Amino acid sequence: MEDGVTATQVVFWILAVAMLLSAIGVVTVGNIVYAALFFIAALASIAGVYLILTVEFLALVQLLVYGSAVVILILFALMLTRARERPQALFGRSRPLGIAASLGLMAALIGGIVATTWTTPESSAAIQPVGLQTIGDAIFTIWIVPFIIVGVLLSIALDGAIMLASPDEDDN
Amino acid sequence: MIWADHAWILPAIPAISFVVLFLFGRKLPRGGDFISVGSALAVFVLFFFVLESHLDWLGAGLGGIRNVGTDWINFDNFVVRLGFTVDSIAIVMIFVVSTVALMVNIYSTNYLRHHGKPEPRYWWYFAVLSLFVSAMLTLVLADNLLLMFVAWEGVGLCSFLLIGFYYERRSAVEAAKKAFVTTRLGDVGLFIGIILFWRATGSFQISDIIAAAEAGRVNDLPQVMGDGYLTLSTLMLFLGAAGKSAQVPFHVWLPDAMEGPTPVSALIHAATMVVAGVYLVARLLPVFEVAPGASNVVLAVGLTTALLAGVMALAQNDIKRVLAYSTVSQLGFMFVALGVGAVGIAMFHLLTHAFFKACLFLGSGSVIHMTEEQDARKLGGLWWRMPVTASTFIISSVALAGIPPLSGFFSKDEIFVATLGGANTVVAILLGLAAFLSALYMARLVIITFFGPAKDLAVIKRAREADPTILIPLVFLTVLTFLVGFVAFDQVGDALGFPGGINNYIYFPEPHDFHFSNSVAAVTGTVSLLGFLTAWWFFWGRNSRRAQALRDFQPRLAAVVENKFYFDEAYQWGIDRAILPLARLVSWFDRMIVNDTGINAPADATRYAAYWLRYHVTGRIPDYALLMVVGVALAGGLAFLLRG
Amino acid sequence: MPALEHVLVVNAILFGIGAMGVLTRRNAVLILLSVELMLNAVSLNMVAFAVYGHVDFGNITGIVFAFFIIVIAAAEVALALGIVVRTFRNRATANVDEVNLLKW
Repeated sequence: MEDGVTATQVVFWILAVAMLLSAIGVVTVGNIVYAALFFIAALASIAGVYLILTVEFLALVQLLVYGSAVVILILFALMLTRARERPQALFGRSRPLGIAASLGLMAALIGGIVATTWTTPESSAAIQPVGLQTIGDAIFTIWIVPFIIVGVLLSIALDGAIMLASPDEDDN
Repeated sequence: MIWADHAWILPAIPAISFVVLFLFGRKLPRGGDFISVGSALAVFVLFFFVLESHLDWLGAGLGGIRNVGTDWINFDNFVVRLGFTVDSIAIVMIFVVSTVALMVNIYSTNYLRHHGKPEPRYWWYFAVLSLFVSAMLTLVLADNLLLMFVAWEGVGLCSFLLIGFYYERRSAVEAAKKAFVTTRLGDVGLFIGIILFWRATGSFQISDIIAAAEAGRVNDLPQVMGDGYLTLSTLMLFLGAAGKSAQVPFHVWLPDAMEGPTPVSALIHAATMVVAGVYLVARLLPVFEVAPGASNVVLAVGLTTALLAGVMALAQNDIKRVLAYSTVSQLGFMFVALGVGAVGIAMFHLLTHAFFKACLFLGSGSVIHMTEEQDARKLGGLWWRMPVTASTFIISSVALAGIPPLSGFFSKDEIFVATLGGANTVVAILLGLAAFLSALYMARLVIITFFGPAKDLAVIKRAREADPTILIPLVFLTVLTFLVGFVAFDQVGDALGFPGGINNYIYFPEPHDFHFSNSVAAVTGTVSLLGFLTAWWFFWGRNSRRAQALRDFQPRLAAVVENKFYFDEAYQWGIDRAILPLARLVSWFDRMIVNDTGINAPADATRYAAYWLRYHVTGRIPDYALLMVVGVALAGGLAFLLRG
Repeated sequence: MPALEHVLVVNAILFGIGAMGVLTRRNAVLILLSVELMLNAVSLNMVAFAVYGHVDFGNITGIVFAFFIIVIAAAEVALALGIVVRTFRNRATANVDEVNLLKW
């Protein structure tokens, strides 16, 4: 970091601010559809941070899986559960307590991070970009069994979700 | 195959029979009785293989004791063997058990039927009978006290189950309970004795214990008690033996045990289980002889029992009860023999007694089965209606009374010889009195049951000879009663293959040969005849008015005898006055202190606490999440503050 | 490249905002969105450690882990939304305050 402020750092801070603002929007905005849109923005910012951290693969996966599939699921759920939602019902009774608790959590985390001495490479040039091939090798050699298990888990979860959401026989 | 090394097969066969009958007996044809009879037959046949191989070893000079087995429990230095010993004492016992068990099995297939129709729980009877045979053979063969104790309780359980076989009858239930509890009192002593020996020697092996006792190593560790420890342990064992063998003051259960089916009385309460106490003392006699005073206690208890039970038998009117008291009395004879150190003679009397007493019980069962009456006062004149039963019964009675040349004469005579040699004359004279009493009560029983006029027409009409399945065991046992006495002669024993005769075969600490003494034989024979004559004088036909006159002459004394010296009443008094109040106290303590205070109070406290504490559980997920985050934040903050 | 501490601090703030959403929102779907934010903060953390070659995370594992987290998050979202839809059908609400059966 001794070589001053670089372009990537500037981009990182822009993305970080965008990410945090979008996140605040997700948790505060009154309209839940807007909240979902802020969520997309936050995800996109995170994908950008992945890019800055030289992990293009994860950035793509983030956009594909989160930015499209998960968000679409959530939007559908929102539409399905919007029967008589009133704006004043958006926040719980213990809102001040919740804000205080989460701020405390945040403070504890930041304090811990700041107090720790992190050993990082002397120069950012020493950081090797993680290539797609490295990730592929890792997933399909060392992590092949967890990978398969995750695949099975995913299909089971989707089946389960269908079962949960499908109407009962005597339910119509 | 060396059968003596595979003697475990003997108890295993009836055990299998028990399992099969227990699981499938109800569904098998004839209640599966053929399985029980078959297993008893197999044991009976295999016994001769075991005997032959044992004699082979003995003849080859390889020692008389074969011991095989495996470790049952092996934990650090706590070792319990699942071991089986075949020696001469065990051989005698197996012979008795297998023979009588076979006879009783055959007999029961008929006795447990009413006009050809099986009684309820017929299958269960044979299942328990098999279990009993298995447990009894294990008891006999066990090479250590703990395994023996397990089998000891096993036979006690079977006795309990079979006494209470007719559990619809209240008296049977009471009798079963009484037998169980009374013998249990002795068994506690036995177990304490086993533990005491284990504490001193670190072993349950009978051979180890005998060796340790003879080497004077049975002591409490600080040696405070000295020889007293050995005596105490030995007497504890004897407590168990006395309980099982119904010696005074534990004798009260045996007459009541007659509530069970008669073949059970023959097998368990005459020939096998009740002699387990004799067997135990015989096994451990070297210990008894080393322990100061122990032998004298055995002698005194045996003598008291022989006399008291003989007197009590005089005033009983139930056939089976007379026989039960006679069993108690004869067991007393065996303990007297043990008390003077004559193992072989005690075992010999055990052997002869088993056969004639089993025969007597089976004979009385035959009478009861056909006439449905067991009060001797209502019987009478049966001998020409039931000639086979009557003759076998009379022969066995004569054997019991000790008239030559029947078996009882030889064994009883031996006891007198041993007593004269080992103890003093007073003991012998008292024992002679007991022998006189046995002749008297047996003759009285025979006279009022089989002779004289028929007293009850309905009973005499029902009386006719029983089926062959009942008569064959009777005849077989009578033949044994005739023959078994002669093996006492060394020549006969030698001819049968026992090197040096049966008395050398059965181990003696110091060999007792068979002292057939003409003078003693003449005296004991005369005493027995005198007993018969007295019985004739008092009970034959119209002579019974003399007995009545005697009773009227001393009514209070007669009442004492007829009420069995008020033993039962005394026990009942003790139970009512001491044990029940104590039990109430314990029960109160258990209910109030242990249960209400110790168990319910903490439970109530927990419940009240939970009643109030549960309100912090709202059921709302946001509250849980909030608490979780607060907790994590606090933990993180704490870690931050304590980061060192 | 930004400094590791900076990335971590940004992640911590993101995590805290997600927690705030979980604690303050009442709509189950919005709570789910907040949980996803927290999840993203965590996986971003792992990627940062992996990339910066920290002594404990100095290999590819963190990145693979983030990948697995994304996959499992997809499964989790599907299930959670199934539950929300189910609850909504049974109780006509997606409001977690009104679902209070999780108690004695």
